[in-house]
Amino acid sequence: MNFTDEALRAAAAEAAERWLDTLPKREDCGHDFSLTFQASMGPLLRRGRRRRWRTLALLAAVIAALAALLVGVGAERKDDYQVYAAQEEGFVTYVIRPREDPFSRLPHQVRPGWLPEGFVLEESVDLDPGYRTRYVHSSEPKYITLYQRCAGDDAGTLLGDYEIKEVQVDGTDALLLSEAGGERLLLWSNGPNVYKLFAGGLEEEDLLRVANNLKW
Amino acid sequence: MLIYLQAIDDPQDRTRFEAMYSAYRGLMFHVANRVLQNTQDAEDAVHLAFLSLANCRLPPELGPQARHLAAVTAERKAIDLYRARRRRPEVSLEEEEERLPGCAPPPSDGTLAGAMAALPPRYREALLLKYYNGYSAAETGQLLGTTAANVRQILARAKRRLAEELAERGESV
Repeated sequence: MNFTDEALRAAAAEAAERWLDTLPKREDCGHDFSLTFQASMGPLLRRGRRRRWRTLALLAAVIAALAALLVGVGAERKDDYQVYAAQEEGFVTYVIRPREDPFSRLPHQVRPGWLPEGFVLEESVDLDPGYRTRYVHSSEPKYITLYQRCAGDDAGTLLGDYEIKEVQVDGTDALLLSEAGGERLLLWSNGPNVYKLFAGGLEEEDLLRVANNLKW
Repeated sequence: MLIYLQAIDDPQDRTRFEAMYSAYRGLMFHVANRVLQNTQDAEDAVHLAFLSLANCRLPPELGPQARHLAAVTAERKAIDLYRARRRRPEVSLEEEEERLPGCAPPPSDGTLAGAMAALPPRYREALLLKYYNGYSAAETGQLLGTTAANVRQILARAKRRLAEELAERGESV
């Protein structure tokens, strides 16, 4: 049995309608998206910043050339990764890039050996390859999310007025991105592992203490 | 992600993109979540879907085609995430996708439209993106995260599967 394009085109609208009918209506699809999601979508949605987007795209294209102008971590050491962050008005961009070939092995999962009082484990998810572990405060809107991974490039953009600071985690250089509203992101690498520690409502001191007490 | 930002530099594209975001992000989350059964993973899938949409030719206005495009893109990213995290190489793509939670097809009634709607997700997505949304193989590949050549193969297999389904029911087109 052969199908002509015309026959397929004629049937496609009804087929799409039938499949869409299995989905709920728009009013039944409410969901409060997380701050992390909203931040990641922000750069795609903001109007009136076209010049800045071009700047960012250019940044992606010539990241190696610009690296010297950005804040670099571990420049004197032969680490497996380079971690960079660039600040613009209203947002900050970070890039994590392996120095040589991408890794593909699954790292050993680490767990916080210390957490501020009131935090409980919400979920632990296997990524590909790596892990995501999320802790939330039992009574306050605070969270800690630890991403541990071991492959390829990683980059992200965070909306807001972030301050970039060089800090130390377990004797390793790290970047701390802190927003006035209380969101923080700590980025560092250790051997083949890349760590991203997101936190909301946590003091810098506590965040660093969590990072400095990760256990195998 | 930075590279994708170039794709919506055009004000008209940006307006269409924002309209789709406003109208369908909830639906996309629902579609992704019924596959992944995990809120954070589903948000990741929706984000990946929007990154694909930012790079594709969007329908000029909201409506069934835009809704279909949004839902299919979210479904594909969710399935890809699901597969990446639960590798089962001994099972074929189509077999595994048919068994995924949230991917149960509507019942087929023996018509061509019914059989198309009841195809495994990968086949249905490729066929409908081509014949309903009007995308080329290259554009479909971009949305589905594969090559144009692979899309052509998927389309050929999908048509074979359609023919088998309808032949079993004694239908002809």
